[in-house]
Amino acid sequence: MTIEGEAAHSGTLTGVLSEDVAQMRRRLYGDINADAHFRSFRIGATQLCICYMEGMADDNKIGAFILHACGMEEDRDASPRRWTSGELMERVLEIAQCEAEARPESLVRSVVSGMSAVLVDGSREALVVETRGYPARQVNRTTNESVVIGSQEGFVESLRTNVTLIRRYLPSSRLISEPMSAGSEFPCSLCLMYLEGTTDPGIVAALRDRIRRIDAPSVDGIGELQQYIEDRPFAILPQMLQTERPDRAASCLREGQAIVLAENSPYALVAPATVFHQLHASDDSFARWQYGTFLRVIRLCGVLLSVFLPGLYIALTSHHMHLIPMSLLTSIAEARANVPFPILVEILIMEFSFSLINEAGTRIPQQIGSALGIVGALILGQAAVAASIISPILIIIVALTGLGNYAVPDYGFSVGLILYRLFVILCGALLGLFGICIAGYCILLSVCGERSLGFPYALPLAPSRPHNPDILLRPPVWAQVHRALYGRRGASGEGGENP
Amino acid sequence: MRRGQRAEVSSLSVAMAIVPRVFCGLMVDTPDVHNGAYLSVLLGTLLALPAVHGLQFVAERANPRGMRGLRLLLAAWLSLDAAALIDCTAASAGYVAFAHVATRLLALPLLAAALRASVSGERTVVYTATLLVRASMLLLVLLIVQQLPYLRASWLAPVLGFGTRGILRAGVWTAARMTGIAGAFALLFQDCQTSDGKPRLIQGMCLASAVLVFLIVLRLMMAPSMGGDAMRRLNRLDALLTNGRAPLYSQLPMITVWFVGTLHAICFECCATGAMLRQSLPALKRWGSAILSVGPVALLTLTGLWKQALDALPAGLEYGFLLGGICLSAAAIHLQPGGRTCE
Amino acid sequence: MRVIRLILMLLAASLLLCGCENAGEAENHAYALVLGVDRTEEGIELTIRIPRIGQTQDQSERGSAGSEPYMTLSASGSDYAQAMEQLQWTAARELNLSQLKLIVVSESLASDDAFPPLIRAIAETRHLYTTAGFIVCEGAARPFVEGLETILGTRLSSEINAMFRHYAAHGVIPKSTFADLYDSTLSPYSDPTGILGFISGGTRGPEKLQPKSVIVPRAVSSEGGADRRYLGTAVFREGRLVCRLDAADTLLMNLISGRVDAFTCAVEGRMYSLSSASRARQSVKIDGGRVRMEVKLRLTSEAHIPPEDLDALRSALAEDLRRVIAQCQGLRVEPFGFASHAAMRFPTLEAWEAFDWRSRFSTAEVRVDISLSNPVA
Repeated sequence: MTIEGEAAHSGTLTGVLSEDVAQMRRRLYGDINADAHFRSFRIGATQLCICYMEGMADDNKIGAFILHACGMEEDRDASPRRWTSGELMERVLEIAQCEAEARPESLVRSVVSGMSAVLVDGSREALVVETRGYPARQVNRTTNESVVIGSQEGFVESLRTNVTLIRRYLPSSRLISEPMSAGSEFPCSLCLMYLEGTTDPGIVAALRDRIRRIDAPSVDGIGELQQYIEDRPFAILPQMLQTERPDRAASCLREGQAIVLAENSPYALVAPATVFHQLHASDDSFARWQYGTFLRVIRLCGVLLSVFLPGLYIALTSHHMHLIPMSLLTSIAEARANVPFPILVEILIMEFSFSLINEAGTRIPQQIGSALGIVGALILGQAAVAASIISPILIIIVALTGLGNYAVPDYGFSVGLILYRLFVILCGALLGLFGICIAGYCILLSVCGERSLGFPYALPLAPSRPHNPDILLRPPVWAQVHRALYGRRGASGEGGENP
Repeated sequence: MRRGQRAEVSSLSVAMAIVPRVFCGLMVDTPDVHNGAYLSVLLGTLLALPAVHGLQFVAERANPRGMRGLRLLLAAWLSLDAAALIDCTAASAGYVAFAHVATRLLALPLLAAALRASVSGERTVVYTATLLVRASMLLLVLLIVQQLPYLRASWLAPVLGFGTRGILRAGVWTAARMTGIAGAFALLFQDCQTSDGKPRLIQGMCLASAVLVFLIVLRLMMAPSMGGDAMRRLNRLDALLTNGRAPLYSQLPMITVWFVGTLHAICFECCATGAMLRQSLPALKRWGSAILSVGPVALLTLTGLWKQALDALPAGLEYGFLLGGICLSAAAIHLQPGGRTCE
Repeated sequence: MRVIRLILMLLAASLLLCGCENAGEAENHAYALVLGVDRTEEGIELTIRIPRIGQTQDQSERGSAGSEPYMTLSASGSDYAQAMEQLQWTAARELNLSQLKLIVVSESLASDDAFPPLIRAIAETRHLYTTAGFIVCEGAARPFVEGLETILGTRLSSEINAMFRHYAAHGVIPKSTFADLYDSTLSPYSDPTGILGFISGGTRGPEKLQPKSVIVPRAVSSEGGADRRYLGTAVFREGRLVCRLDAADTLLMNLISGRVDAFTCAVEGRMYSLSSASRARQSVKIDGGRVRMEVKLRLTSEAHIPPEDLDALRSALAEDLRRVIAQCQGLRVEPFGFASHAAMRFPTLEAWEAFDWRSRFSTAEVRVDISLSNPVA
């Protein structure tokens, strides 16, 4: 077998430009893929060829930093000479990021992600040049984690931009970003970020290991990634935190947590996370401690209302009427006098309608989105009550429940609360307060039994650890002296990967 | 639990398991002590402290055979006690709302919850207690604020209630419960390699004792001592949850604290039984141990056998049963002076 | 697999849950607000007052058909249990006794030997909570219950509570619930009391008030308001009514028990408003079987009282207090609360019961110490 045959067989470049270009063309389906371009040119006595994907690579960068630079060099050099890829990289190409790569599959990966591959005749290494210039969304306000005061920036779909955003909020040499990828057939670029010296190495190793063990053809974004690497996929509540705020992600890094960013995902995945992280919002920290504490208390009450209010209502009105003052009980009875459904059916109808309106509101096109408000108000409001399908008091119950649900900053967590709520409703309907107490205890059991990267989900209250007094209430910032809960040795009850 | 792991047990968790069990027993199922109930608690604590201390000593030094025997003894005792507590809690559920439903049927959801807890593991149950303590304290404060205008300190007299015999009997009964539950903590969460992380049993029992005295005094101030038919369980539940003076909606925090507390005690006992079975028989998996721990409890509860078993056992005998087991295990250490290594 | 097993197990457990049978709809219950108990020739008659759902907001908005916001149902039986069962049938829907605000018993029944077991039967009625107020009415309970209406257009349930709070604040009725009656019947402390009720313009009405130091309302006409009046105390011994105290004596009794803070006194036609500087202090000393009871009252006046009136008021009040206690001593009933203080001196309930408090009380020495002062300038 010739050297070239060996190279082709073993997956490296041959150094013969025509063969290398043919190999790249073959791999990029250049004959049928109209986006794959191959631009040949010369510098001195050396023939070169740039491979790039139209739309993903920026033509201007190719023209300015590669073609023009090579042309300038050729003008300076009176006697044509042969260039190697290394010499080109060191002396000619006017671009910051440029590295040599010998493996065609890596070159293909780089080209499809927007980089350009410069094949050099006579060199068995090509140059991978940063020429990405695909259209991407600008950094804008967050959509799901709005705050009154504080930073308004949110992550975008570009991984590079997201990493840069984090670096802006955490300008430290200890901030490490490790590029990774997930997905065997359609790899998704990831970036694992952590603070060296603060984050427990076990956390980083656990995340790294879990990502590497993903055995799937593709991983579409942070949401899917979370489902592959979380501790208990069948648990109701999410065990990692997703945030679209770079300031929040930076705050988590300071606590000793690690984050994962993914290409095309405007979210950061934070791990390990506790149930209290799901309930905290950035607003709590930006406001003064009095208001921050008040907000936390309101949010906690909202969560409790969201989970327990409908169940409590059905338990009291079905089984424990004596616990309701007579004047209120009469109002409830009068409100329900003409409703044909039992109270459990009424509540389930309302829950279903509310969830349906939520879902429709998310999917509806913007042009007709305003109609939804009218439809929702009509269905859930006037018409249903006037037709005596539901009682007006239940609308108040469901409205309070919904508001409590929306007070939760994390979307995944709020959906989990909905499922818990249904469980509490059933238990309340069947067994009254007895059932609600059992349901509440079982929910608490499931919360305390969950793990996030092996860390207990109710840390640092259960198990109890020295911590910032910033869990349920928000004390003044000067009182928050315990930082890096996850960075200290022995923070975990079990430690790392093996609970 | 893996060797050398730091135990996450505090005195709060120990107290949270002891308080509902002892309170339920003294205030509902022990009619012959009323005004003297808090004295029984103090006496029981005094009797239980040396027993638990001895058990801790044994747990650190016993050989595997001794430990296995001790664990099986405690597991059996806890199963019986859990059955009794389930019966009491189910009866209170029947009082609160389900008058026409058999107590045994009302025990089924409790058994389901106990199974869930057993599968979750003893550590999860202990973590749950750590969170429950906070919620319970809030509810207790609410309860006290609601009941305060209706409490009468004069109902605490006469101090000895129905007499010293009842106090002594209830004291030994309390000691047996405290020893059993604290002993389970000692066996489950003992780190034999380091002293750090051991469950704070003595502090937990003292805390439980203080909380029990406080709650019992509150309860005694809610309704006067009554004899005769008022000693029936239903009437005692009635006096516990409705003092006849406070508005009825004030029952809500009381019922919540009552059910949550007793449910936690049931779950801990069942879970501890399963964990001790797993420690004694390492081949047993979590589900298997859960079924083996909750199964006998379910059998005892649903057939009513627990009543026959407990009626046959005077309180002193239960206490002696536990003490005897501890002493036998201590003797096993003496016979094998090499002591034990961690299992 | 493990989670599937868990889910299956939980589902199986929940299928066995039986509470759904017990669930009811709030609007399908008949909520009894008032329960009246009478003795009839057949045995016991029970009368209840139930709100009609949807028509309780305002009595003035009664429909042209004359639909009442509240309805009255009655049932009789040979005993309480039978009468209650008959009442369940009469109500024609689930009868809910958990919202009872008043239990009214006729005077004749309350004085009868049949009343003590009846107290227990009422208390042990399932889901009849003993927080209801307890009234002993002159005449039959049924007409008393039938005529119960709201005065201000609010709901009867809230109006009853507000009315009794108002009367109790002025000290003219005891703060007495059915629970107190039941508890006291079974417990070895002081004797229970009930509220005396009557219909204005009835055959008897409140007794003619003897001149006393304290000023209390007399019966008023029924024009412009409800005709059900509550003034006075019914005192029970061993479950039977043995004594009636009028409104003035009730106020004095409440003063001794520390349940009234402000009241009006008169001396030679001049009226003064007094208030308690601190709760009345009772003490009981037992010396070789002899009992000495003492009541200490610290009162202040809202307006300045001349010294001669001050002394006269003090002595008149003390005399009235001693008279009320003596009246109860004569009847061997003790509704003041001295028993609880005496019981503290005994180690066990057995010893206390052996002491026979009722007999000792009837022969006890009584000392009343009143400190009355003018307001600080």
